[in-house]
Amino acid sequence: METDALLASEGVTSQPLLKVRHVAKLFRSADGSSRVAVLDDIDLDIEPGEVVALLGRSGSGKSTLLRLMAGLITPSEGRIERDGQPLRGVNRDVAIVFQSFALLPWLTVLENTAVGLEARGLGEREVRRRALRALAMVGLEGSAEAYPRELSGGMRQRVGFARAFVMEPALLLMDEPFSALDVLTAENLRRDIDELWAGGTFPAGSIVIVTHSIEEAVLLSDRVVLLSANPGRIRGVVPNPLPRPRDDTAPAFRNLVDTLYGYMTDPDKPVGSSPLAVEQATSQDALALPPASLGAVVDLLTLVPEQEGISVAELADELVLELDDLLPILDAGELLELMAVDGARLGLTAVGRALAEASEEEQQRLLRSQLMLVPLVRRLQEALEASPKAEVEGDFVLDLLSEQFTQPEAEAMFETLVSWIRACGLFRYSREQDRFRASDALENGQDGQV
Amino acid sequence: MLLDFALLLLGLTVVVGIGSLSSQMAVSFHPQAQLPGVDLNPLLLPYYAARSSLRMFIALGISLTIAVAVGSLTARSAVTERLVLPLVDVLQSVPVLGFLAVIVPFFIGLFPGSLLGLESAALFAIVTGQVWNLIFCYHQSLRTIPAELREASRVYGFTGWQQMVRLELPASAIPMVWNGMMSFAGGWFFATQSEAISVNNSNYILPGIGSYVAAAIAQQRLDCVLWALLMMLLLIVVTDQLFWRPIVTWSEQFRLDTNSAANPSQSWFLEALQQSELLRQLGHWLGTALLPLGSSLNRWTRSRGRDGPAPLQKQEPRWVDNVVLLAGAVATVLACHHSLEQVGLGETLQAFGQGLLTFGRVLAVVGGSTLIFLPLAVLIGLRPRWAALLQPVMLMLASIPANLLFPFFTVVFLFCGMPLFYGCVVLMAMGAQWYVLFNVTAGASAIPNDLREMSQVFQLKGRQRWRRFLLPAMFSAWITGAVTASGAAWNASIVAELVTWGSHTLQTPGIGSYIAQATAHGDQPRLFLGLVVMALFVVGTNRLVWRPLYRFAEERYGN
Repeated sequence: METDALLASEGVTSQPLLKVRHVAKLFRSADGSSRVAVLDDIDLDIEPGEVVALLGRSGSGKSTLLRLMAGLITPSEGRIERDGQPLRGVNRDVAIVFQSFALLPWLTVLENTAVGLEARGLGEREVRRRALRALAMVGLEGSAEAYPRELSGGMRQRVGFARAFVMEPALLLMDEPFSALDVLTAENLRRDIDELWAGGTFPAGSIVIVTHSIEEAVLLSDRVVLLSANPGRIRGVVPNPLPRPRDDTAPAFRNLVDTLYGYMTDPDKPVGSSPLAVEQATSQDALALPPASLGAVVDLLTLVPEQEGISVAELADELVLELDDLLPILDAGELLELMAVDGARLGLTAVGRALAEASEEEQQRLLRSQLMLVPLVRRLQEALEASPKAEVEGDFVLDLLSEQFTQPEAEAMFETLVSWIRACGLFRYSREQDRFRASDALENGQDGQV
Repeated sequence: MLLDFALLLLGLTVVVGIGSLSSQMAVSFHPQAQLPGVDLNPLLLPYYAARSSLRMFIALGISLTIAVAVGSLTARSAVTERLVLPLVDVLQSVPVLGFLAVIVPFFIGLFPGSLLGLESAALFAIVTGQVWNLIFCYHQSLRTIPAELREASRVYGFTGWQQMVRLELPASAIPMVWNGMMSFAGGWFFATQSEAISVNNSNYILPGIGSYVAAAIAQQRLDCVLWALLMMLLLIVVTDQLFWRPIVTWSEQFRLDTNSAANPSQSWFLEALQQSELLRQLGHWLGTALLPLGSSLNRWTRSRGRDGPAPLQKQEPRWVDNVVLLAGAVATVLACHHSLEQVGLGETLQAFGQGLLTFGRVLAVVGGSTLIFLPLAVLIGLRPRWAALLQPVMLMLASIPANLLFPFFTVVFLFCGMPLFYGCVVLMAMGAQWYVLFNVTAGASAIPNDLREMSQVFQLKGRQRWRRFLLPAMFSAWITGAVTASGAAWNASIVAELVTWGSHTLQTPGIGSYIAQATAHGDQPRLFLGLVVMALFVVGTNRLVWRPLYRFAEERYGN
């Protein structure tokens, strides 16, 4: 195996904590006719003593991969090994820190922290002693008797950490642990974790953290695993040798962040020395619509300096937008051939420039013609032309999407389509009758073109 | 607390007063109506079923109208809120079948020589079974309309009519539809029971599925009972598919928060209706025809003041509480005096003893169904696919009026000589148990996914899993189920503690059979005593047990 050879050459002798081999996770497509891969052919080892960041856009299945490692769900294909044995049921080596904290509201902070130890059957006094120690580690020893609802979001997540720490797990899994917190609190908590890990007192052997924040990945990890979306595949691994504790203003830190931005904004760019070739866009991607509003795309156009373009990292910073929110807008801009992303720099196409300066009416007209570049819109257009009454049922579109996507994905894309055609008046859609109709504006436009 | 009990007594006095007045009115009429019998031919069952459902739908319409009227009133004036809501709360605790016994003679007197009297009595029974609930629901949804929407309606000078059709009715649509659906399901019990009733030593029969079963019982025809049961199931499925499902789906558009439901419900029938060109035309035509009516309603309800309709939530005046307390004290004295004079202290104490017996049975019903259904609910509720599949089935099972099942059990009891003393617990549980199962399952399936994953990853097992995780997570849902179940069990006790099969009669002491007997013999003082005792037990447990538990659950387990 290629991966094994790679490990051997690096001189790793100890047994990996967790081996993920050729793992795929399939979910049923919305129409039930086929299965859609959320994860495909994942190969990954987690070594003792390392921090691995799983970085990818939404739809890359990174949370699914985390749950596979925890044994909460089972792979559809491939296998996961723990200590050389196939993983059965819940992985006893792991603790999880959840995005939504997952605290039991009817238990005090202390009791919440202690649930895992209680389950192990330790004595009451020992449980209490260890739980208090874990709470002290996250600075919450004073709030032991409080209930979660009395705490702020940041404090609640600290309880989440204490609950995991107290287990002293060989592997700590973190599922976007800071994304439900405000910017300042998240930054604070991230620093604390970094310092604990740098100080060598961290009560867990290894960490796998799922994130869509590039800064977070660079701050915390020893290596960053980049996942592609639809289906989730490993694009490559970027090592992160920066010394700890890390300084996010250091040039080396910024460089790594920029590199990763480059990978994230360009899904087709090969990562590092990765032998894994990125596959051609499949027919599935052709129908996909990124979850962005046309309004956001147009607004973004006006922010891009005309000649030189702008760095995506800078843009995200300036707009205080999460990458997860920014990337779909860029994708939509590229799909409509209004923007071009090269490396980590964003520029405008000729049409994009024209649109940024156009009047309201002209913008609508341009958007209508650019929308015709979108495969799903073209399919709808053909169906409308074929229909004698110029009407198409919503199910026609939903069925097209349902062949290739899971139910929530298909429904989200349907909603995006409706918002797009409404935003520029390309067609009309009545939700009550669930029907698309050709709009008058379109007919005029066609007359003009012919 | 003191105020609550004063209101309780006041409410009971009103009920008793109206009851005795109306029954006396009835006595002077002496109706000698010719009543139609029931043909046991199963082929006639669809006709009987149609009669019963017609009654159900009329009653639903009446209940909704009353609920909207009373709810608007209580939401607008602090005085009516303070007075009417506790009264409604008390009335909802009085057993509906007891009401029926009081009211049948009155309605028969109202329409002498016509079935209309009986029809009205049956309607009345169904309405009393659901209207209280709907009043609370409408009141509550008016109170929770966002303040900004209210302010907007005032700033833009909504007329009273506009305020109702543009703001209040849409805002309450979803809770009212759900509540109506639940009440409708519970209403079948009263609908079927009120079709064949013996009051004052005479039998009154109204054609319907309930009287069909009553006739089958009298003639010991188990096959006919089975046919009626199948018909009932069919009826429930049909009303669900053709009536409730379309309405639930349609009402989704009135969601106040802008994010849509996680699981939007679907209805093939509604889709069919919405695709129909003919219906669209008809709707358009109807809309145009009704336009003048709307605008004249607008003109009549235009606010005279410059700043639109009065704001909600006035401060209630102080004197209200004092008046209530005084009236409550007077009512207490009168009630004690009346009962001592009419039936004596011994009989009164005995009635309370019978109440205790039935109370024990109600506890057994709730406790038993909790023990049986809690593990089952966890099994189903934690599996989303099972839950999605089985929850509609449970709702339908809950809709089957328990009294249609009684004959099967009666026959078994007679056959193996099981005493009704214990057997009637099973009968009472027939209707009540589903509420526990349904609510607890809903509670289990509402446990957030991340909490479930947490319990798996941190290896919660066995006792700890139940004590720390499952029981607290389902506690609120269990209380809701248990309250509904105990209400249903109290109501069922009136028909479960005295059952017949042809010429066989099984009876066991309890407040239910006490009321049933007093009803049959037309013994007014004992009927009222029975009703008051039962209502006291129901209200007492609501106030002293369920409400504190609710509060505890909210404070402790709420987020």
